[in-house]
Amino acid sequence: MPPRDRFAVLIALATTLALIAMLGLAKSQWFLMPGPLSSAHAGIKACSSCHGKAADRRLGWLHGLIAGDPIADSKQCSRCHRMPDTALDPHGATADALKQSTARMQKALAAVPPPPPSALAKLQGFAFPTAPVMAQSLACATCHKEHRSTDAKLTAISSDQCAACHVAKFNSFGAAHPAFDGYPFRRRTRLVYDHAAHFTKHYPEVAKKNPAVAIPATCSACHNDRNDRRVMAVEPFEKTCAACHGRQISGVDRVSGPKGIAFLTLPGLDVQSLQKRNVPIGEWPAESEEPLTAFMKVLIGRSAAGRTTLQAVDRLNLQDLSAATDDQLKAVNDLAWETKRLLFALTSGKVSDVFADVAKSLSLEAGAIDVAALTAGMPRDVVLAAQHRWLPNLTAEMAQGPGAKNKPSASQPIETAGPTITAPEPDVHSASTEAASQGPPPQQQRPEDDAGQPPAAAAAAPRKEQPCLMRVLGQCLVTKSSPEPDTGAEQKDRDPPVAQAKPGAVPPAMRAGLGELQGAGPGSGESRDQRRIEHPFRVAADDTTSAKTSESSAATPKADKSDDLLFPTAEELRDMNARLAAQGRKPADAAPPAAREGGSVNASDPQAKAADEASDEAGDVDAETWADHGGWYQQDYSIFYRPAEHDDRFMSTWLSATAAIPNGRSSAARAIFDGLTAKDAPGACAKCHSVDQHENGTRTINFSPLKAAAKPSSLTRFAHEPHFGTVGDKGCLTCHALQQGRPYLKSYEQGDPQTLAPQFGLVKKEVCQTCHRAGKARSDCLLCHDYHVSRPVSPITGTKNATD
Amino acid sequence: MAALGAWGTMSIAEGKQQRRRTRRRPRHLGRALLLATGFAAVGGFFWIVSAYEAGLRDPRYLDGWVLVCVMALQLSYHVALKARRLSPDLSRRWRALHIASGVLLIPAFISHAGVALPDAIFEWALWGAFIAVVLSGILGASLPALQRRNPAAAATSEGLAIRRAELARTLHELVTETPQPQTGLPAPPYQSWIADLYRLRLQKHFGSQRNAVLQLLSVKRSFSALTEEIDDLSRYVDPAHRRQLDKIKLLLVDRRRLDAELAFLSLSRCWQSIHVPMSYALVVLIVFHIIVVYAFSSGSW
Repeated sequence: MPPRDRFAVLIALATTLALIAMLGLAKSQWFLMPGPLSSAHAGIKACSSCHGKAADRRLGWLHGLIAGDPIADSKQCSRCHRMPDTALDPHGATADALKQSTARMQKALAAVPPPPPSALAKLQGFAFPTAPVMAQSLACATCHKEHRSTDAKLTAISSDQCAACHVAKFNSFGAAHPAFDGYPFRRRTRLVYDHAAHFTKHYPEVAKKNPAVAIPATCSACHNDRNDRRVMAVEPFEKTCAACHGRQISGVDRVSGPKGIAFLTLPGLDVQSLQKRNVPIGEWPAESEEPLTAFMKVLIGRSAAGRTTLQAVDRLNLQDLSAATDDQLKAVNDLAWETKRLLFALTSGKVSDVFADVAKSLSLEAGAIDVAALTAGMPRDVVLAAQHRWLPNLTAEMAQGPGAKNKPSASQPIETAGPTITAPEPDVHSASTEAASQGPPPQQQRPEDDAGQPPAAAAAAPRKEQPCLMRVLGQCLVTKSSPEPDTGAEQKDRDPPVAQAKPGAVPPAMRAGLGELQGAGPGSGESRDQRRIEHPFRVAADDTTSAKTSESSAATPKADKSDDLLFPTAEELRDMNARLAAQGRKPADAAPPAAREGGSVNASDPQAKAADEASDEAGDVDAETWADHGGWYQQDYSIFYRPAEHDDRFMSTWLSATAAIPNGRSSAARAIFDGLTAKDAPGACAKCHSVDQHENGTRTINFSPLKAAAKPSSLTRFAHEPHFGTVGDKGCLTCHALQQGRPYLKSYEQGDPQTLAPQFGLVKKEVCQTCHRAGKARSDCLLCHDYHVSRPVSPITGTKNATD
Repeated sequence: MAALGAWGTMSIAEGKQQRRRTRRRPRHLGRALLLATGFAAVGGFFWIVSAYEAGLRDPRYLDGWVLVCVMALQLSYHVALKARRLSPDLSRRWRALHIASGVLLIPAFISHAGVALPDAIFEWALWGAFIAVVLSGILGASLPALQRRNPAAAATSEGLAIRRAELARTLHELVTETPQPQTGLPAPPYQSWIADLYRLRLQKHFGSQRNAVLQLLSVKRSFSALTEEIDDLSRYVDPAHRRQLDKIKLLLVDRRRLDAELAFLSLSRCWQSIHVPMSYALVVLIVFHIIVVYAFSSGSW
């Protein structure tokens, strides 16, 4: 072998030995890298972090030579980048979605056939078809090529690569891009806003009526893309609509109809017929004419028994049961008791328990329902007051159970004309309040009642704790160990312990509202505040009951049963009437509101009547008006909720929760949704927030306008901001020409969001091509299109909490 | 006749020029066609690589395998040479193919590695070896062109050494030979002048290896200085010695050609000692590179 050849072999051997030495001595595999990683991945140290088949051992990388999972590396990517299951499919879309897209594209091309593909596209299609590549999952590295340089753009792909798979092969927007298909309107707008009517009618009218109201002068007064460059977002309600429409939510300007939503009602029943047929519904006010609202149906239907009952009375006219069958009457009886159970559960138990059952009965996912929002912080006092007014003997009835006959007692009222329908007792609310927390009312613990107390009452017996003299909202305020005034043994026996509370024993901060909760005290020698605390809520079923109540209460001074503030004395009433007369108003009626509402107030107690009147219309406002800033109030035999501001949690939560109920499940829940989205519904949510109907029967109320996050599956993006400098004097109208006379509002009378009549003209590609063409602005595919339908998210840290 | 003679004379001269032109034209046309074919091949290669990339495949696999295939062709020429199975004509043709494909390797390498310096150790090794092989190859391919500018080049270093010795001996004999004087009068010491020239300048010039780089670059500084000195001396000597100096001048020209040829011969030996061993090292690195690439491969190719 010539020396030159020997030298060449020596060099080859030396090279081999050098490589072996590097493989053997190198502590890592970094010398094998074909180039540096991009900045985003520069922190990755081990090759096996991305190369799934490579092991971290010295020659572990050789494992990659063994055939294995072809997408092992892509799976490594998903360890940091959260991706949908379809991420490795073309565009990350399902095959069906791609088929639909292709069909749409072919339809567009049928109208305007594209020019023949370029020579490169022809060569690629002939020599390097993409079908074999697409047949298997598209690995991430197909497009995202690493080890190029630190500043390499991993997401860069060429327009030719896009065209490789597409039916229409063109590589620039200026070349042969098909005409836009209805762009940018894929669906009707989520917010119902008639631009044309506002521009031509409403704004001029408002400007004429009230020049102080700022009329939007430019599009940017309501729209901007500063927060999210992908969409031209609508400014918040408070900045745009509130000046004119804010009062519509609270119903301040509403001429007729209730301004609140009847949430809890005591449904009106044909008590007369029930009495005649001896239906043992117990105490029930005959005056109630309230309907069984959808909310009540949902609340009653939280149990299987409730649902059965509701089904039975579904088509029954509850206010006329004269022709009802025995089965129907039994169902009505069940309904009455279910209603009572509901009220009892709301007053004696936790609200969250009731609404957890509601969520369960509606099959709402855990956590999807926010009990706090569903109840909108409904105060217990409101429910308690309503219960005392509607069904004062509820606790006793619940203790005795359905069908049990109430026994008359000295302090307990008297049976009504019917054998089973009892009149509400005026003085039991303190007892019921007590019962809600402790057990049966005091009068039922009297010796003469003990014998007749059913086992149910025993079941509801109080906990054996230290005796509590006064308990409010479940909290014992005064225990027996507290110093007590000596009021005489007789008084002590007759009155409940709470009546013996020392004046001033209750902290002032806790006195508010106690008048509706606590029983009447002895009255003599008590302060006005103390008497207010002990105000009894007088309700009666009818005049007979009232009379009997009056008789029964004769043993006790009236002052003991009233509150001087809420129930003014005759002198105060005269003074009040005089003031009202001076203001030119009608003097306070002697008949209390409860009597007007059905005579349930004890008519034989003028002071109580006057006090009720004064309490209901104190300050010359009724409960509905009093709640004009929103919240709960009781009126007649209903507890209302009145929305008062935009983005009301009660409204949005109930709407969202009931919208998700598909057809065939809980018609009551769907009725709630229908009611809240009705044209004249309080809150007027559906006036602006459109409702989409889905194929499975569920619905969506679009509370939010379009946001980029709401359209993650979009392949097209457009940023408005870079174009503002090019539109000139025409501004937004350059692309969005207002078209009047379109049936825009009519398109919202149905549920399909894809059926639309946009008020603005479609954007034509020729407008874009004035700039985006060869030699001017960019016109490659990635300028406007994203590859991934669902964009993989950047990694987030999986930092675990430091725990022991 | 004169006219005919003049016409005949002109036609002969023009005929020679015409034949010279017709011989040159096909050669130029062929070179142009070859160049155009080369450019077309390079353009076509890049076009195919683009189409490959548009087909959602990693183009580095395509141009990488093109590199491997062409390098295998290059290597087979070396193997055939070592096996001594090539006829001179086949060897000449294969050598031309070796050079042409070597030129095409350059764009393929640029397509594969990009127009950037490598930034990893192993990449540097590959890149350095390839560049060394290519540069030595370019040098080797351009040597014959340089040699064509020196048509008297000899074939072997042994022959060149013999000829160099012969030239030195001839010069010595020429200087020591004394021409016969033409007149009886005492003449100036022409012979001594020539002997001095020989002793002071020519003997050293003919006795040692001249600067090879200067020879390759066709630098005539030393040669021109000697010929000018001889010409200066020729004006003062008699015709007999002038003829002697003319002969010395011719020997000087021969010697210069001999030096150039020797420089080319040394250069050819030198480039092969780089080109071939670096090719061997490159082959080892390429095999390792392919293993690494497929071990870490991902995506489509």
